[in-house]
Amino acid sequence: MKVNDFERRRFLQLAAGSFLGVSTDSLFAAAGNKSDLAPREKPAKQLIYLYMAGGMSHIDTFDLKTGNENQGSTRAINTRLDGLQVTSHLPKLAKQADKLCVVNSLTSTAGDHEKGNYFMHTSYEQRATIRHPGLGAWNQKMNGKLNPTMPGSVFIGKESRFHGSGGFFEPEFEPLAISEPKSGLKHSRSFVRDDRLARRLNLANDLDAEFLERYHTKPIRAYGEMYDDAVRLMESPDLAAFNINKEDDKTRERYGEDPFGQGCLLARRLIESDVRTVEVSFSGWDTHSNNFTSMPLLCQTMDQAVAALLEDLESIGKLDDTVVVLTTEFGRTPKVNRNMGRDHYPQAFTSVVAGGGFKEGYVYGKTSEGAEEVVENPVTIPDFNATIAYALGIPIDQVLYSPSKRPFTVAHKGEPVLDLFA
Amino acid sequence: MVSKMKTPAPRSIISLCVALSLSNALAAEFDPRPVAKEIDELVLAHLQSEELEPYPTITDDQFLRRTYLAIIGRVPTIEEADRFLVAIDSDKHSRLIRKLLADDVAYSAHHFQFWADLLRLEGNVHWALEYRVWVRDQIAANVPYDDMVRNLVTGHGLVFDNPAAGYYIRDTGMPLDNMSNTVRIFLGTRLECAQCHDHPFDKWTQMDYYKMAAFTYGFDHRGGNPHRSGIHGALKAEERAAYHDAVGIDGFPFLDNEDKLNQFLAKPSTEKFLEGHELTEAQARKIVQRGIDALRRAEAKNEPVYGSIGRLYNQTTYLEVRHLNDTDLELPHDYQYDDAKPHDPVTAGTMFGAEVPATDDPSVRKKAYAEWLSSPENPRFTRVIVNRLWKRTFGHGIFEPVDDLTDQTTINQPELLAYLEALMRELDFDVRAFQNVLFHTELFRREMHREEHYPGVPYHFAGPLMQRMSAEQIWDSIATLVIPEVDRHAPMREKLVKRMAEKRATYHSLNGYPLDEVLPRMKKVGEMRGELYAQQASYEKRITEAYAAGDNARGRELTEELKVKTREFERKSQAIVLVDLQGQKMTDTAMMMGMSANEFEEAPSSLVKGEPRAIPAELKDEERARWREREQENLKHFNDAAKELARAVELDSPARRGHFLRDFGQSDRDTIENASSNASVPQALYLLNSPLSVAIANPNAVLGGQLEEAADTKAKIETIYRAMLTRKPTESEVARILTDYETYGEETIEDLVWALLNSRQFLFIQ
Repeated sequence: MKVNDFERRRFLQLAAGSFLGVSTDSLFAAAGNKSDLAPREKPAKQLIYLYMAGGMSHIDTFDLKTGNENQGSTRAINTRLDGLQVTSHLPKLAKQADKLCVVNSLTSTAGDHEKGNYFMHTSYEQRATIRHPGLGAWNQKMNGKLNPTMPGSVFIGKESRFHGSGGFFEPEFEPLAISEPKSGLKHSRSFVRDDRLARRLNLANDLDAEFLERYHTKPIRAYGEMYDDAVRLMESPDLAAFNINKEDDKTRERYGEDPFGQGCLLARRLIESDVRTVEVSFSGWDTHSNNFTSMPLLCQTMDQAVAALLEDLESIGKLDDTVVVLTTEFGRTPKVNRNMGRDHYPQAFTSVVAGGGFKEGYVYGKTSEGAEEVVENPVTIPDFNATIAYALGIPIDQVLYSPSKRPFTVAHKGEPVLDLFA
Repeated sequence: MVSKMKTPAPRSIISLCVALSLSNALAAEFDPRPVAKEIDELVLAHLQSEELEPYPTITDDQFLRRTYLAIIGRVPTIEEADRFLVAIDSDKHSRLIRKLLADDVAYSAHHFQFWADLLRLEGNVHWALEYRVWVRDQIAANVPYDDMVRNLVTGHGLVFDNPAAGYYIRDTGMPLDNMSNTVRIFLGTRLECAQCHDHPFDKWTQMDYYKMAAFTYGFDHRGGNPHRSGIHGALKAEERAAYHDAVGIDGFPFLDNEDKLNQFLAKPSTEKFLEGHELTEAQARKIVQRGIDALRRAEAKNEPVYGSIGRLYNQTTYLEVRHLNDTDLELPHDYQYDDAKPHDPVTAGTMFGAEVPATDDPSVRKKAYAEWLSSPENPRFTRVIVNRLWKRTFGHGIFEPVDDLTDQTTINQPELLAYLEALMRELDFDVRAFQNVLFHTELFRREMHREEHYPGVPYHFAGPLMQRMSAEQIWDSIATLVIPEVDRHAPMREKLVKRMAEKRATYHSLNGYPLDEVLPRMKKVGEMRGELYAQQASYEKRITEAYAAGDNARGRELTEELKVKTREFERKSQAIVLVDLQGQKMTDTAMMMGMSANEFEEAPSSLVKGEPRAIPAELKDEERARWREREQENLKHFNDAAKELARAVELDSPARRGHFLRDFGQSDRDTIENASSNASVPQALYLLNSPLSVAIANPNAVLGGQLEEAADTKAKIETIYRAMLTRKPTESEVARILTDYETYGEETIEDLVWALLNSRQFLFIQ
């Protein structure tokens, strides 16, 4: 039974109260993460986090080096934005480049998938003693839910473990996970008629009445409330947000029929229903071999989905309030390996942000001629996450304590890159 | 005094042998009742001092349900209930406890989860499978707790020889965290804060932390594979030989790049060497260039072989814990205290209690650490396990949290705790004997605490604290309602055995033959890989052209073709190198490497599959089609549920995300004791809307079958209550159900199954 956790948390509150004063206080501020930065005046409210799992090659997507021997057979095309070329397999995003804020100067040292993925999602090194919460959990923790009927954050993807988790926060901060966008939320519909369901609920309540009279402690009451929540969700029009089959064929095709495209479509619907954070994961980017023959399909799939998503967010008026992030754990070795592939490369890589008050049509940072190293405006992963947090109005110096009373902030020691904001 | 039980020869639980060692020892030698009575007296004295009354004793029904859930982790079947309830002798409670404790298979299915949560047993990777099976075997064999801890903490070598090596492999790359976890699990003490600075809330210094970490620092988990380096060495030697052959001069140095050549030429002694061989500098340069060219050719030829070595040997990394003798632990670069400087080497030392003499031998050091940790003299070792087991039995620890002991921890009932610690030592850390005592207390038979208990407030044990069933208990109880002989039902075991056997065969193929047998196979697949490279290049050209011409469909088609070819190649190269992976050979190898024959012979694989009922004769023709359709749909729900249902211990650990177990709070096994019993919306949705109740009520299920045989509606109602809640319904409950029945008829029966599944009486243990 998890009285355990609750107690610890409770103990922690007591401990934090008596030892530490207020939680933003100074015990650990000396470590250097105290910032004088005032919060954004009109922060964005929602976050769509598109995660390219496996390590998206920077030199084959947004950081092209035409003419350099490292480029291999990837061909560049111009975009709507002067000074930005992308791979020929991102034609739709090229047309929308004026919405993008491309960061070509991310740099990290975490070069294996698990650690890199963890670091990108949490800003902390992976440790066997704790799990750090991801941005979605922080967004919900600091900003609350926008729609009380809906989950605070949703993860769409097949991964059996993902690192944008609720971490050491309370269970309600764990993202609701959907593996198959086409099937939506599991068990959200009764398969008996409504009247029979009502009858069953009555029967269950009547038969439980005596027990509930005897035992009315909080964990037991919580189950009652949970049933109310569940039934409310089932009856709510918001439930339809989980059902992408409500979209017409044309829209579904516009996003692409693959799981990532459909996941982006679902993300858009959930954002419309005021879910704070939606992560969509897209794996397959680990191109150790056959990089150049794998990238076209990967890029085209991503291109179609993200382009449709940005278009729709703009047309429904959500783009200004929604931060869209496209990121990955690391880039790939600029030098092509013997298997026509590229290996892991955390030294320099690319991520993209859009919407949410970021500059539109902007390229930040620069890598060397062969995309080997960052030569201008390096951005660490904590910096990148601090930037997203800042965009969302999450105070980056807010310290929260784990049950073991260790202090943590949303982006560890990262500082936001203010130059990215319009 | 109980004599320490000898660990029986480890017979794997996966062969389903029921070792009866424990029951005999327990029954014959040790009467838990006098000890249990003393514990009750301590609790009563405490209650008296708090002016509290103990709660009343529970009914036999409640005792039965509580005992089954506490000892074997599931509700009893109706037959099991009957066996207990019909007995009229006063010893029957004791007999039930002892019988359940002696059921190694059922007991270990439940107690495994205790360990799985502590050890974060996770993942379905090869080493973890061996480790998991081993943990369950230890529990089934009732290996004393201190021995088990020592086995874990000294875990070393190849997992096939010693699966406990998994204890370290679990934290690969994080040796410091591994130490923090060890101290937290077994000493109930939080050290992790002291990794980066002196502990802010406790007395531990960063130096304490590093001295503790030094005991088990410096191990490698990625290497192993003795032939991997052997093959590498052989290839490198070939390449050097190509150089020397091309140079053609005995004793000529190996200069494999221009820098080395220049350095060589600049050396004073070189002139004489060249004179001796009648060479000018220009000639020497030319010769060396010839050598380097030959070397590069040999390297290029070998390159695909290296590619194959990587591919193949990477399948058998993380299988062995080895010492790395040259890596001593150093203080971190930002060490800020006066007692030492950054990067100073650290000598191992204990954080409290007995000192352990320093030694350079890492094996000796690790053993000494394990001895110190698990010694009865260690003040926190016994304390932590008795408190954990107490909490597991009564819902609340004597001190809380169970794993954050400090000098300031308030222990509300110190005499009781001291008594339990002494008892555990007396029992030589026999966990089941200890639990046997706890289950024999009056306290275990008292009503649950009914009021709110607030964390941080002392708990006085007038009765146990009510708990929600764990995710595994709920799942296993549902499985009991559907699957007959559920404790012995292991449909996934055959697959598990096969996977383990495959990994052994893979390892053996790569490392178990003489090097000069493995090397040619590796070269052969290297040669094939070279051909693959050529194909890849040609495909890439065509694919790029197709895309450039705007023919995406063709580009994708060719990409798919290349993928198929690559897969086919990998399959072929496995067949050539992994010679032990086929059929009987695989079984033989696995057995040679320590798997027992039983595991192959006895692995039960029977999936439960339902049959449709015969159409009732009285149905009219027009009703028949509808009846058949409903029957098929019900059967489908049953089959879908039945194929997933087996006790949680038999499934993946942890279950996949979105699985019932995870939705109900099973630990993700990422951090220690991370299970949750909180309510959540997906749980409610699951119980409200999944076809689980249809499956349970289906005649192919245990409960559904009993319903078919029940004489009338009242008998059906009683059957459902007894199977699901381990009690008979009250008259008013029956009346309430019959009201529905009168209006809605037979479908009320399934509604009742649904209603009880959705009731809190089902989820919370009274």
